Amino acid sequence: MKILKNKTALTGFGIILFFSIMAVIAPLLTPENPVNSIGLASPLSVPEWATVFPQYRSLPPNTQYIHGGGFTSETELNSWRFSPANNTLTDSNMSIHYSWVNPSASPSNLNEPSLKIVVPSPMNMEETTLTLSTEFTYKYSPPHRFITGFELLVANTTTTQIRVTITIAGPSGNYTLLQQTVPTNANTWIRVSADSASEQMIQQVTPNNPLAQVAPIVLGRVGNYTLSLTLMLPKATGSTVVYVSSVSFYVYGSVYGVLGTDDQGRSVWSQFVYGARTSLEVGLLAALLTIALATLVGVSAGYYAGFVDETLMRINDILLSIPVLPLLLVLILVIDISSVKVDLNNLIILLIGLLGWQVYARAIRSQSLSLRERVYVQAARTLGVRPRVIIRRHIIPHLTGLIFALLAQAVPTAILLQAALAYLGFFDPNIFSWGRMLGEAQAYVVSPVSGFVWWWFLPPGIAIALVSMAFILIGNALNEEFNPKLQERT
Amino acid sequence: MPELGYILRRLGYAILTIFIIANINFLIFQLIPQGLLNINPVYFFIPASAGSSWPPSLILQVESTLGLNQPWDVRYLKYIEAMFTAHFGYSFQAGHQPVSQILEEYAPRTILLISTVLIASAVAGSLLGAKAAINRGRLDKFLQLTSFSTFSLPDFWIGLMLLFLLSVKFHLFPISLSTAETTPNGSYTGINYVTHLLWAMTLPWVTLFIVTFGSYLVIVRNTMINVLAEDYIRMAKVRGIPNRLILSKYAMRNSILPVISTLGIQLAKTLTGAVIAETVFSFQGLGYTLFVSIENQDFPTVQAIFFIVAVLVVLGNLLVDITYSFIDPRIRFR
Repeated sequence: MKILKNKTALTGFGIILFFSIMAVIAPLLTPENPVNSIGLASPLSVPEWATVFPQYRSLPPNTQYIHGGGFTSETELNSWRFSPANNTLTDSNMSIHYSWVNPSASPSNLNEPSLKIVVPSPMNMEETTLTLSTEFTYKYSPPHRFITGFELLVANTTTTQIRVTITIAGPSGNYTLLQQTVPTNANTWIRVSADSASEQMIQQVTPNNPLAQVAPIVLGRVGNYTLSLTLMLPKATGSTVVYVSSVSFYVYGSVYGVLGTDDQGRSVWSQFVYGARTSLEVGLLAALLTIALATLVGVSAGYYAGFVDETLMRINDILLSIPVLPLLLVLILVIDISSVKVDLNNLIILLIGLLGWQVYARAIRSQSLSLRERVYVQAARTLGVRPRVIIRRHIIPHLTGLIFALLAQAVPTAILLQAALAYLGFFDPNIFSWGRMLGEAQAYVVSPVSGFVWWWFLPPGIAIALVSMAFILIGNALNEEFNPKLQERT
Repeated sequence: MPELGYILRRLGYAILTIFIIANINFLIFQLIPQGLLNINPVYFFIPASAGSSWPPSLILQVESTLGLNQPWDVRYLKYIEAMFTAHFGYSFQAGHQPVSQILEEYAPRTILLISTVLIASAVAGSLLGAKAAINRGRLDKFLQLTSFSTFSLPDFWIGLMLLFLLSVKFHLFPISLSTAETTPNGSYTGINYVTHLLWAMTLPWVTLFIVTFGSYLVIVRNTMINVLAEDYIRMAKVRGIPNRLILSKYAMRNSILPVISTLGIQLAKTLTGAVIAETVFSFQGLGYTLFVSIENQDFPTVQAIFFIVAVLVVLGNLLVDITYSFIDPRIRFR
């Protein structure tokens, strides 16, 4: 077949193969489901590999600065400073004892290593303040957001509440991140956490400016930072045992993944890969429907000729006058507000398929008309073979080349149409497609604040263009071979 | 000069098509909702919360003009009457403007945009295609590649790129028509209005042009190649007719026919493209208004725009057919 030697057609095949494989193995390529993976990193993060460019070099990645919850092993205790200090030399009745507890011995059901603090009863006559501090180094530009927190359990039934404070000290100043009184329960772990984007923390750190961004202020400079957790135990009878575990200081990075994130922190790469699925699926199915309809109409008009031909072609021409996109929008609108529940994606496939057949029907019709006059068809008719059989046996097989050529034109039209619809906002919320990505990226592309979000905006556009072009190239090669009207003469 | 009968037939055909489109409109907005989808068609003409913003006289007027609470055959007759008197109802959006007013304001812009794009694409595509067909070499390959790539690019993506590059980054063009239209002293009038309209129209125009001219290039190139291989061209060369004359009088004239028929088919596609291009640039023409109306579920406007757009396509096709008959003598004596 001549087509296989055609370089442009081979390129087309290659591109389509590439994207088809990407679409099929999508779940393997990306661990995240694009629909619900919100907040994987900061919104509008750049791809990881973009850090080779100077303007992105110092952007922070997603990092947890407290390793393993702070107390993974006994030696980890050394990275913490305690105040009042661990003092076992003097009278043990007057000193606080810090020790490490391994997971299995951890109380309740938290299977994590934890720190055990014992406050002997003599000290419990008054309020006791315990401070745990650790250090970490931050070497990037100010981050967008962080969250911090820990879990604690107070094993003393008379204590009902405890006051906790989280503070951080560093090159850009000392800040209290959280100050809270938490009720305690001798049997369950209490989680204390603070989010830099939350109102409470904004209130804490910048009480005069409710719109401030806390994270860049707190971690404003490269350097060493000290995170301190302060627990204020009220008076109690008997000794108190406090367990602390799962300490975390997590910075939401501004770089993420293969293609960064969108405005809600979703992975763009996962959207891209799953979008390949949608675009190819919709394109192929809608195009198949269109060509099937076109063949039906075209062969009927071409073979039966006469009155049937006239009417079908009149209808064809009339429907050609109706522009597709407005009709699509109108139909989607009307069906949307009705009480009929349809899967929007399938509806779009159906509508695109039903509305595009006119152009192809004409081509099939003219080909059928000429096929009809072939000798073997005439012979079959003379012999009285039923029309349906003639069509099936003689006409359609000779149309296959043309049908494939037309199919190769119908697919990019369908893909572009679906992309346009998704871009305009008509999509199923659970389904991602390239058009949708472009529609959602638009607000940020033209906003001067966020800059040009190239990692979000370029890949889907280029992908749509490549896939369309691939099909058109293949279609051209097929056309040259099978469509007699366009056969080239040198 | 084609015979009168042909023109009359095409005209009648066009009127029939418009009538059928009006029927389709009725089908979509009155029969189908009532029959299949259980919506009262009243909602398509009077907003559900009309009590709040529409004066009762208005509601009564709409109801009587369209016969909204009467059986469907009465409604049908009234509807046809309304369509042909261009009485399209009142927009649901604030200010309940009569839809025909909205159309009057926005339709000319879109018509200007589309007609100029189509003509320019056809001309540019034909010239380039002819060039490619004549000197088949590197220029040919290059032009083919260009036309393929531009043909397959999504128009909204090109639009966005242009918007970003030229409007945001380099501030050469306005971001939307409204920013072009108003100054601190109010809207432009007169010649200023026209220049600003054209300025705002440039980017949508370029976007549409990029995706349209490719098809003409390819068609003219292919046709021209076939024509140049014909015997009569050879004969002309043998007879010593200068090359330029051969090209313009014999080759070009015969290659133009497919261009004109493509123009007709492309009209509908270009309207689709205009919807997208206008939306990307927020250029207030028919396409953008259609999009906004659909978002706001402003049914009277949606219906009217849909109808007008289809009518425009029919009229455009009529124009194309008549032009075609002037140029192709074979058609005249059908």
